[in-house]
Amino acid sequence: MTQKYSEEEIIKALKNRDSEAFRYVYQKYYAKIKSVSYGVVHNNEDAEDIVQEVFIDLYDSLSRFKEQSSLSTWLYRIALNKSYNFLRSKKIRDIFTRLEERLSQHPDHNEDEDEKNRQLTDLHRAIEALPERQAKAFSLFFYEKMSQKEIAEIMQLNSITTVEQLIFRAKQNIRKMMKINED
Amino acid sequence: MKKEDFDAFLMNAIEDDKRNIGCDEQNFDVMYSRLRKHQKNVDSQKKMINYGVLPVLMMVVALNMYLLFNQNNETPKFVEDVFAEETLINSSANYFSEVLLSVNE
Repeated sequence: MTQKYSEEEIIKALKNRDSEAFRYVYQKYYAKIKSVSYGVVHNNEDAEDIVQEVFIDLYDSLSRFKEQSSLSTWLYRIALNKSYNFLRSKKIRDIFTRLEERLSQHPDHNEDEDEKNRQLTDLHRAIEALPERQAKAFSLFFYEKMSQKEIAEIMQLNSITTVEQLIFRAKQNIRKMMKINED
Repeated sequence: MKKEDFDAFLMNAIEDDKRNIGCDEQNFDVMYSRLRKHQKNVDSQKKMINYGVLPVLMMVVALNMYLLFNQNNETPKFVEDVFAEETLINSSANYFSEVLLSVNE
C-alpha cells in the first residue's frame, strides 16, 4: 500500500476512477471480503470470483453510493448478497450433481474418508442449508469475527438482540442438521 | 455434547476451515483487467444505444405513427364512423319532423 487515505478521500478518489485508490481498497478489504464470502459458499475459487465481482460492482455503482454507511459496511453488504445469490443458484445445481454422485457412488466409498474432512463437509452443508439471514449472520460472526453491532449495521437490523437470536438459531439448526445431540 | 463443547467444536472447525482460504492479493491485476473489459462492454453498449439502437427505434416509431394516421391518404375509420352516425341521426330527425308537419297539416 503506497498511500493512506481517509474515508472521504478514498470515496472521492474512487469516484474519480483513480486506479491507485482502487488498488488500496482492494488490498485493504480483499481478505476480509473473501473470508465472509467463503463463510457462505465454502469454496475458495467461488469466493475468489465473488470478491472480484464485488469490486466490479463497487466500480459500477459508486455514483449511487450515498455515504449513509461506511465503505466497508457497503462492501460487506454487496459481498453477502452476492455470496448468498451464488449459493442459491448452486443449491439448484447441486440437486442434480448430488443425485449423479449417489448413483455413481461405490457402497464403501466413504469408509476411507478422513473423519475431520467429513465433519467439515457436514458443517458446510449445514451452514448452506440455513435460512438466508442466519447464514449471513453466522458467516460474519464466525468467519470474520465481527461484533453483533457491526453485524446489525451490515445486515440493516434494528437491534443487537436480533443478531444474537439469528446466531443462536443458526447454531441450533447446525447442531440438529449435524445430528449432534445435547447432553 | 454440551453447549460449551459444541461451541468449541464449532470454533475449531471454522479455524481449520479458514486455513483453506487462499489470500492471493496479486489478483488485483486480474481483477483490474476484468474491470477494464467490463467497462469497455458498458461503453460499447452505451454507444450502441446512443448511435445505433435508439435512432433506429425512433425511426420505427415515427414510421408506425405515419402509417397509422396516413393509411392510403384516407380518413381514419373511426372518423368515418362518427360522421356516419351523425348523418344517420340527422336524417332520422329530418324524417320525424317531416312526419310531424304532415300530421299537423
